Amino acid sequence: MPVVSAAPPKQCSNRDCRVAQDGRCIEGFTDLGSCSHYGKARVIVEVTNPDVAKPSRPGIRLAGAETLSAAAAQLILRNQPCNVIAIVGPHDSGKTSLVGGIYDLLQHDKIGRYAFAGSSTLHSFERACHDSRSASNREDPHMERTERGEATYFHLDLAHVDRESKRAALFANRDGEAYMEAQTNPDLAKGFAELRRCDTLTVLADGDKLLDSSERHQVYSDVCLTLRAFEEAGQTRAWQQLAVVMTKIDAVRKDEVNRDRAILHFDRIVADIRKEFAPHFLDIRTFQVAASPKNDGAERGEGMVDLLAFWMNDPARLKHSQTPYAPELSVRAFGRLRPNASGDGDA
Amino acid sequence: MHEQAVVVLGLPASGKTTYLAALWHLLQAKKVASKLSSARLRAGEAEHLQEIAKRWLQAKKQERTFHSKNRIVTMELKTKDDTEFVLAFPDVAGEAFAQIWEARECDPEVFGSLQAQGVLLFIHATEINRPNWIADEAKLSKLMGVNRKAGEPVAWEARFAPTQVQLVDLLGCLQEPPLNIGPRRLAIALSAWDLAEGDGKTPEKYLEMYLPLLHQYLKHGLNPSWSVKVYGISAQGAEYDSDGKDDKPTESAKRMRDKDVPSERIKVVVGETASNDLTEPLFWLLE
Repeated sequence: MPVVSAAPPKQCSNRDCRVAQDGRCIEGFTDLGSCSHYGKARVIVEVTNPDVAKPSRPGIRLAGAETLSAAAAQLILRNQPCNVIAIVGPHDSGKTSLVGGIYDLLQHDKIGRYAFAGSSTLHSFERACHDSRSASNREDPHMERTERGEATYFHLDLAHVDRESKRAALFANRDGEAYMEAQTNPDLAKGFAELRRCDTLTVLADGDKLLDSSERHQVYSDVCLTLRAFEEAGQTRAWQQLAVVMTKIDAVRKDEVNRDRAILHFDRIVADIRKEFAPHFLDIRTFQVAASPKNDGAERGEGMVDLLAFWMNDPARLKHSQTPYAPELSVRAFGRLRPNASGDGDA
Repeated sequence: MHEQAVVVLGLPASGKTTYLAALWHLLQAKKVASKLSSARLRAGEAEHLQEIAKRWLQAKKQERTFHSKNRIVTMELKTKDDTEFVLAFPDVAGEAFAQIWEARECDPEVFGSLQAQGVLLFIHATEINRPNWIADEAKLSKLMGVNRKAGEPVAWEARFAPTQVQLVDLLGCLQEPPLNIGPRRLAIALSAWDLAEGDGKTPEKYLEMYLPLLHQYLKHGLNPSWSVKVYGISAQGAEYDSDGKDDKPTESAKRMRDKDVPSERIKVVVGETASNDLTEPLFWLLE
């Protein structure tokens, strides 16, 4: 069968040539095939409407609103009075709920005597709270898992309404697994700078797990062994406060069968913590909270007023230490007269 | 003649253009007493001013100010002691301010107008996106004996943030480099005040009740060198007609058209006192 090659379509890439209409080449070629433009498709160039297509101009960058790196947190620490709060607990024990819960309560009103006075991490707060708000379309409140990696910091400026003073709160945000791994390798805790710098170390006991007989002993281990690991790694300071917090109190109250046992178990954990760690902390307090309740067993934010007040106590690291003056007695008789002469000696 | 500038801020549909339309009418009509008056008819973007004032007189809703049509309107005004000045008044789309919150960047054109010392911040009094919590809704649904509807979870986007959070951030940005210019005056205009005044509250109390986070911030977080005043502004007087072909004329718009002195549609409330003087917040900002 002979192969028939199709004739090129009557078209020209020269936009002024009308060969398709009148069959004449604008360049004057009688043999159309000799024209270098003939047979080629016209290149269509989109006309730019200067009114419609504006050149894209870069906007002027503004400060971000995500959680702060350690270096950015350091700047806040240098520039204003600040309390650092470390929150320690396994995954899903309610660390992010606690921080998000404080922020969400401020959306409504002051928390106790503390009023909202600003934040440089509003995007991160909003993201953290999204899944507990109706806009998420979820059936139950939910909190996103904290990603593995270095600790970042949520920032809130809080004003004490009676003192008219503003103080920043920096909440360290690190994944729960990292803290739990320190139980088997306390040296890991040496890399957690937020532990030795924090004014309040907050350890969480998951109320949901305290109700479960197969999990409640694990809660004990998680709390006590983690604290022991931090202490062995030299990451705690005598001027720090310790808050032991039972989270998800709504779940505990709702379970009538296991409620009392769970609370008793929490009390036992606290008693053991006091026994072992009291000399290592300035103050140890316990709290029961419901930051984002999943049932009507507690009000949203229950217990948070007291917890925030504790977190915002004047940091003891800034208090002057006092050493009683005890002059050494001179070996010479004349020197021994001096305390009497200056009025420092016994009457 | 020296130039004074006021920057008008507000999220989309917060009432900025309606205010400008009513202001232009009030200045040209000269039917009600005002602290500032028009020195000359000449104005920058005069056609735009005429167009929006015309729609306002017809009691028709303003068309949205789209991003590509940011304008700097200028008016030649004078005070009662005949001091004349040019007022630069940017009519910027609310999307440009939403971009500051969402994308953490500022359009260079908008950046220029944000250098003004006087800030007029518009908030639609009844279109406030408030945070709603699943826990609270579940509790309410249980009390009412109805099932709470949930669906496919929706991922977070910055635009979901409550109005008060976006506004706190906007004010925070104005106090940080590169937008910080030092002390400013901030007039907060709660627009559509006619829809809110039924609550019987002063504008400041209303702000405290419906935008508590913003109220706390204004009281405790704002730089002490800033001055703040809260106004309730009703620049329309009532709901106006829409342009849609299926939209029928409303009774409220007709009522406004029936007023013999259109400037009397306007109401400005500060504390317990009310007037028709839309220039009041501008006068305070320029004091």
